[in-house]
Amino acid sequence: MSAAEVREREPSRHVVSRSVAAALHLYVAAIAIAEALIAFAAPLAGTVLYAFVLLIIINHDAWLRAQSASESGVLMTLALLPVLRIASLTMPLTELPEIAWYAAVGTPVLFAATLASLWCGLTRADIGLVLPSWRPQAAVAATGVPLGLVAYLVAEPSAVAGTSGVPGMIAGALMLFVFVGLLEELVFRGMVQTVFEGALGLPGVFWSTMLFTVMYVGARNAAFVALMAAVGLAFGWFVRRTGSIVGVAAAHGLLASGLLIAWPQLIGG
Amino acid sequence: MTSLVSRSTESVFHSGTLESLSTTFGVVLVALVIVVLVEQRLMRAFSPSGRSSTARSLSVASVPMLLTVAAVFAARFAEFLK
Repeated sequence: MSAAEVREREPSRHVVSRSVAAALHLYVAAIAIAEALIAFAAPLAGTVLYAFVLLIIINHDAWLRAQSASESGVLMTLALLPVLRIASLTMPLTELPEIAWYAAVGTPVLFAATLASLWCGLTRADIGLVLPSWRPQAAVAATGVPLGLVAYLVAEPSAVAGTSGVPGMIAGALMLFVFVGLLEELVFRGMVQTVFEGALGLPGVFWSTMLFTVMYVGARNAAFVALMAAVGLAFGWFVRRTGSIVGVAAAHGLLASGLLIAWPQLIGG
Repeated sequence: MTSLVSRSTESVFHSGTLESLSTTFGVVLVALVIVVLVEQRLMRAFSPSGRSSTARSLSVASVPMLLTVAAVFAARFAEFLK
């Protein structure tokens, strides 16, 4: 597939009915409330709310599927967000080394994303797993290094345990490339942005950026959340232009590796 | 500091032991899995062909949640063996 073919891909896939649009507003609001509860007030209550939201969304999706309604893909994709947060809060991470946390939480989410893309009939080109031209992808991937430094200066996290020394750094960076860079870009820019394109008359970039930002509220750092919102918006725009998530996935992987492994050890001491 | 593992999720893990977390957050997970699996069986049972495509929607939740439940049980079993 050529770059021109990818760019010419008609993005408007789902025009949702009025009833589904109203439900979509409610689900997104409930996800935002659940995320805020987990971040600032009562994590258990937020998890219970997420469980209810997930049940309602997948049943609504099943009902739409029974009616052969084309909007069902929007709800199935939205269901990935409650799956992500419930998996991250219930996985027994305390028993694992810190660097394995990302793989432990990411694996179930990767399964869910794969199933959702299959059931929604999304192709590799739909979710941006194509490389139309490597130069712009390499250029955007390189932005991950300075973005990682900016993110570190804003958030100042400590280094992930077990990533000191070259083998630890390489293993940790690989883990973050797959389970943060690739997985988050696959879900937000690959699936949400594509499937939500045109929903409620708004571009997919709006939905992917908004939901991506909501899922970062748990960082409890307004400047960092704002930075990630800007990064999400820029990545979304780039994916819309090029039709590929390869470059932004690499950039996101570099950003996460810098933020959580390299910069804390180089600057933080 | 990612959407997968945020400061909120880290503070949840540091707030309790595996036992206390699996009897609070874990109960929510197990209840959710049971409801989804029962629903999935019912949908398949009442579909004419026995292979309801509507039940597919539920697998987006049931498969990852079953993996998570398996991890919780494995961790509890490992703790029991210690």
